[in-house]
Amino acid sequence: MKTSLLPPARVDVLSCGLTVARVRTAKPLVATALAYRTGARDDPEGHAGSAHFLEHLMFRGTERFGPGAIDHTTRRLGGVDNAWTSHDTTLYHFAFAADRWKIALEMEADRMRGLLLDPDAVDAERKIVLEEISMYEAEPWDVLEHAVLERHFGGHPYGRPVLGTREDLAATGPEEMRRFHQRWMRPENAVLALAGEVDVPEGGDDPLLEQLNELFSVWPEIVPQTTPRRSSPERGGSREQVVVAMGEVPRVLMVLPGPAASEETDVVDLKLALGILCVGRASRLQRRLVDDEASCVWVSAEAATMVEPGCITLAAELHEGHELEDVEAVLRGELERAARGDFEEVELDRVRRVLSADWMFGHERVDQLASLWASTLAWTDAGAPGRFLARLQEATIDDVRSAAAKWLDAEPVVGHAGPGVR
Amino acid sequence: MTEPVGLGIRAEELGRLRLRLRRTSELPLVALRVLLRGGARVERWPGETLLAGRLLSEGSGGRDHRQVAQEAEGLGMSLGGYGTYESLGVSIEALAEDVDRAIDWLAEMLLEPTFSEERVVWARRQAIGELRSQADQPEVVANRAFLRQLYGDHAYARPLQGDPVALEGRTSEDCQAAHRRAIGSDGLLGVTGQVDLDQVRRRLETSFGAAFEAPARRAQEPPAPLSGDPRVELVVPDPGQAHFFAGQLTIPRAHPDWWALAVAGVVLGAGPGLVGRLPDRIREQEGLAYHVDVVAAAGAGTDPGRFAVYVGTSPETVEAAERALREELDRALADGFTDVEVDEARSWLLGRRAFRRETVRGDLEATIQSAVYALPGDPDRSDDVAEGALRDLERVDVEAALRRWLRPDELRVTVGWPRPDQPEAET
Repeated sequence: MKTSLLPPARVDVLSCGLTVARVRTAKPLVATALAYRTGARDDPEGHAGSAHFLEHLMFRGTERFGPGAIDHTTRRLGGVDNAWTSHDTTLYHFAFAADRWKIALEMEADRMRGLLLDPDAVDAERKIVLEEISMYEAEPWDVLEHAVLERHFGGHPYGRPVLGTREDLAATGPEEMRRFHQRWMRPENAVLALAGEVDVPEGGDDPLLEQLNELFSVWPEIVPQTTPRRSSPERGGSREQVVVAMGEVPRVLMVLPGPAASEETDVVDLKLALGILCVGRASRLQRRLVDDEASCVWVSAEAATMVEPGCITLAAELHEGHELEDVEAVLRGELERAARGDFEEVELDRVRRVLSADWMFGHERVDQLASLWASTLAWTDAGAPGRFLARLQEATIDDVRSAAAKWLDAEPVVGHAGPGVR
Repeated sequence: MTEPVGLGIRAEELGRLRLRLRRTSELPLVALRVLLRGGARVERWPGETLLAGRLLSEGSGGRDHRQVAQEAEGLGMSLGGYGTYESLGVSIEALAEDVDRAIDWLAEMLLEPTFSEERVVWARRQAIGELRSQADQPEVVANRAFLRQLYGDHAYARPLQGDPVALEGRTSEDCQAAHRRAIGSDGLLGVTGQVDLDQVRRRLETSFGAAFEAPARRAQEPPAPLSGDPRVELVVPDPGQAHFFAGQLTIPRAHPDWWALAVAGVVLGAGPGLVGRLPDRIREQEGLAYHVDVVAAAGAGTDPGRFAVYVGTSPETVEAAERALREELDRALADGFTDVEVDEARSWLLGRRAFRRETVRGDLEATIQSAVYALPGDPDRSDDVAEGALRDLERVDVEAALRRWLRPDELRVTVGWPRPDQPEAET
């Protein structure tokens, strides 16, 4: 796949500190994605869930756009809007037809400088987040994942749920939200990506940048914000298991340490290795567990790319009459085989084609392009997507073997869920 | 005969197979789909369509399922046989340079499936496994009860997988019989992408040959769905949340009230984000739920869809949520809507149309939907017809449609209560 198929982004940093990326495509649509370099990792002690709670409150009214006005404005203009919070990043996005998109910039700017945080709205939204927590507590996979990740990451913030806890949310009110907002929701801590029919002049005046600088110049000084990086706990090498007595279907989840996003080469090589294991019907785990042995309904293996060292997860849902220990043994066996470097060129060729096609189909939409650039530039440089695609094409079988040996040899934390697990 | 319709779509025939071909120029990708009309709504036993549909990608033309997967993935191609309530078929997404191979495989999978006994057993097991997994999800369990309440014995009341009893003992011959019936029905084949349409046409002729020359055989139409008890309560596998559904049957896809009811639905909450009267009241004002979903004619096809509201809430607030819902519906029927609400809702639906064809898959889906569900008299110009119909709608039209199809005294309600003795997860 040609890396030239990645539309280039023009990146500028405004005097207010905001990083702006523009990607021009031919579609008469525009998507905006505003990524803040803050997430659940930055939740203050005793206020877990703050980043996610604030994400909800960013839709509850600003000085210019009163309660509900952001959603109503979006609807009136035929657009869509939403947001998500991870451990590292919070991202807000809009998408409109190309003749009416600039209102998104005004709404984002007003959320940044004029968020209301009305006490009644905060109380009402807290109730909604509590309902959201209850929703996840009813899902066996969410409960299992939470338990295993908490054990894997130990005291590191990556081990706590993005939504927080009921106790901490009860202790988080308008003042705490205001402090969090003022600390993190600032232009120098944000990346705005625009994709679609946007103006990207070759030279001379750039009215769009001028408009953005004016909209987002709301603070007199640039104050860099960071949360100190914490080391992931060392795994002791001993077997750790979590059991969740919930659900009627046997489920298994294994978690190993993974690379940080900055370890770019490892991220891609590992992706290829995991793809050989589990991406596509012709992959090893799909063939063995889903097709041949027919012990599993589905199986997955993937690495979460995070700012600090993340994790690799393998998961499977079993058919009735099959044992979790047996499936776990197969997963361990395939990990060991991969860690020994037992890969073939034909496997690498296949997964390279699959991942390349997946990438193309996964970035057709303007909102996908905007989110890609906003998330990327929040933590790395504009060359990162191109390097990723280049490595996807150029990684050799030895590169993949090295990555597998480095990352798939660790002792995982294992979780079992289902009826009667012990 | 080639007849260009709106958007440069070439509408042609290959025997009784209707073709819809469209060239797009953004990325070197192509999406293809062939569908045979019928689907689960006319199946002989529950799960037949999905089972037979999936098996189309489990071996064909002398290749077994491993070869099919290996060869497709070697080209970065994703393909699959499928079954829906209305059709059975094959879909493929590929790089545009592989369109010829994609067409060949599309034809091979549709016309020469193997239906080996071993794969039939495997596919049955997969369907049963999926049903068991769904039975662990409280919202799904409550929704299934709600659909049974609305649709009675109609196929829309049950999951496409069918049920374990119906699947038990199904053989290759059962699937072959389903396939034979499907092949004999009307069909449609769409191709969208950065491809030469003349080349595509030639390849389709070569690959499909005279497979669809004989006249179509029509399956017997199922009886109309018949809603059941007004209230159903059941226990679902949830430690703490209740799952509330309310709604009733409305209209099929090609009904003249389609756009008016769609606008009404958006005003009530079927649109973007958290706006709409029902989410405003239940979520934003009263804080009763994280999840409030509203649909106006969900699942509509040949058969009626449903107006439905879902609220996930605590058991203590179910009554309050239902009261709020009924009050808002009564208010909508008694007082109607404002011009601002109707304008906003219409504007949203019109604005969304620009996104329908943003991807090759979305573009193909829009083309197929237009061809299958076009309003009478103007089959493939329904994109333009729809836009005109939306723009011409007045507030009174929207209110009238709502009054025709929403009758609060006929609402069906399903409440899934948490299991009182279900322990919290132990770790």
